[in-house]
Amino acid sequence: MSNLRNKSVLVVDDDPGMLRAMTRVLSKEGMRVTGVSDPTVVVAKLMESESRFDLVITDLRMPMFSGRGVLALASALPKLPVIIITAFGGPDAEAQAIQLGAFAFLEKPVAAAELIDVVKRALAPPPLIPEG
Amino acid sequence: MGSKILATVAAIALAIVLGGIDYLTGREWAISAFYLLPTCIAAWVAGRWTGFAVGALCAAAWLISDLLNGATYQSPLIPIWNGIMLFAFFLVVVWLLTAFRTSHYYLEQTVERRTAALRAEIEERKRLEHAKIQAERLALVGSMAAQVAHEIRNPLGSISLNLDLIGGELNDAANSEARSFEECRVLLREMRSQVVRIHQVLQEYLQFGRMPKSERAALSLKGLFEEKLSFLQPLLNDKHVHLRKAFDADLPPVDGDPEQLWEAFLNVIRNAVDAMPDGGNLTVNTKKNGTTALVSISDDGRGMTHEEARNLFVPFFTTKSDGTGLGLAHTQQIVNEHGGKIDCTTSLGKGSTFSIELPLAVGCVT
Repeated sequence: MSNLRNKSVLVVDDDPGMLRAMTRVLSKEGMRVTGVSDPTVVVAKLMESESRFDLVITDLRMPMFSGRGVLALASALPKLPVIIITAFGGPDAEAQAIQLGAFAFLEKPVAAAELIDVVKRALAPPPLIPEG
Repeated sequence: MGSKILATVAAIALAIVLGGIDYLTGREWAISAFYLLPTCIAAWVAGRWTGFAVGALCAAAWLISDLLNGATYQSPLIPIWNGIMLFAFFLVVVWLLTAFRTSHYYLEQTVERRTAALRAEIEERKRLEHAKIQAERLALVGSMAAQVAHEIRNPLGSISLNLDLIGGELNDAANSEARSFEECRVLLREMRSQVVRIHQVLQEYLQFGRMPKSERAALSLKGLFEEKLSFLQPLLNDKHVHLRKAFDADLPPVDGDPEQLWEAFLNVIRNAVDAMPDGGNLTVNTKKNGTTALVSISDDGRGMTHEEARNLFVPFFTTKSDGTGLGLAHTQQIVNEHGGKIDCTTSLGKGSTFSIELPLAVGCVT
């Protein structure tokens, strides 16, 4: 598992309570957290700092701009894993999100340990492919 | 059959009595028209040939009373001719009457048949109407549940993460005052279990509203029950419920989704077990019933009131303090989805029996 200290994460959730809680959990792990509750500014945030974020965590159902939009934007950037965390899951939504390139799909409520575990896995360096 | 014999005997007796009266009144009173009465009775009740026979008897009675009276005619053949004429008249009447009777009978039959068909159609329409209303209601419940889930899961998510944060804080400070922190940890665990409970309730609602499409295949009900009931045995032992099984080995397979159908049966079984808090007998039977498989699940528990039985499949109706009222509604939804039907007979204090009919798999209907 990789160390989360000083890793930069963009958290997108239109629910302020959830956003605050996630920000706190990730900050405690030493991450630099940028919390965004207005999904329409995600574009600007991602574009202005292409290489700044190591990870994006986003809600799926949001007004104006959905988590799918965030996912599409993020997947256009190299090596930026996206974790979906939603209040409205189900196998269909999960399959769709994974197909669109999400690293993981979490359903609220999620335990802090689980969130941290998934974040660690998302930031772990890819396993070395043995030669030959 | 009895009424035919009775009518025939009565007609014969009446014919003889009329002959007697005819003779005694010296043939001066015109009563020959009354001979029609037994003839008509016999023809109407006992049929054409009995009518002809009684008509012949009446003509004979008339002739005999005439001859015995010693009336004089210009020719001795005249009374015989009159008797034959009378008989011919009776023949025509009987023939017309029985023809009318037959057409009347067929008409009655047709009306009866059509009335029955009409009644069945009205029933079917009512059933469809009911199913449609139920489906609309379920769709509404589904979307409502989804909405509720979304609204609740956000705060739940926040609570969940905050709980873990508090737990972390407590861990950090635990070294100084271990006892009070231990207490806090217990409380936190309790709160987390509450979160899990709310999550489960939401899952149940969501599952109800968004039933996945069934994945059906030819399914042996005996196999399904044998496999799944064995998992339930420890629970049944625990509740002092004795399980009786009778599975028809020759029952052809049904066309069903094993997971969904078991969920449907399990809801019924759970209710049966809940109805027997002090233990009892749970009976699970399968048998062939025409083109369907009939599964019956009975308990000898407390039974239901009329009111409870009426609202059995209504979503959100429950008599349990921790029930969502969706179990049997979901069961009905699954059974209906499989083209089957579910009914319940219950007797307060004696127990309930749920009958679930499922169509046999195509090619297995004999």
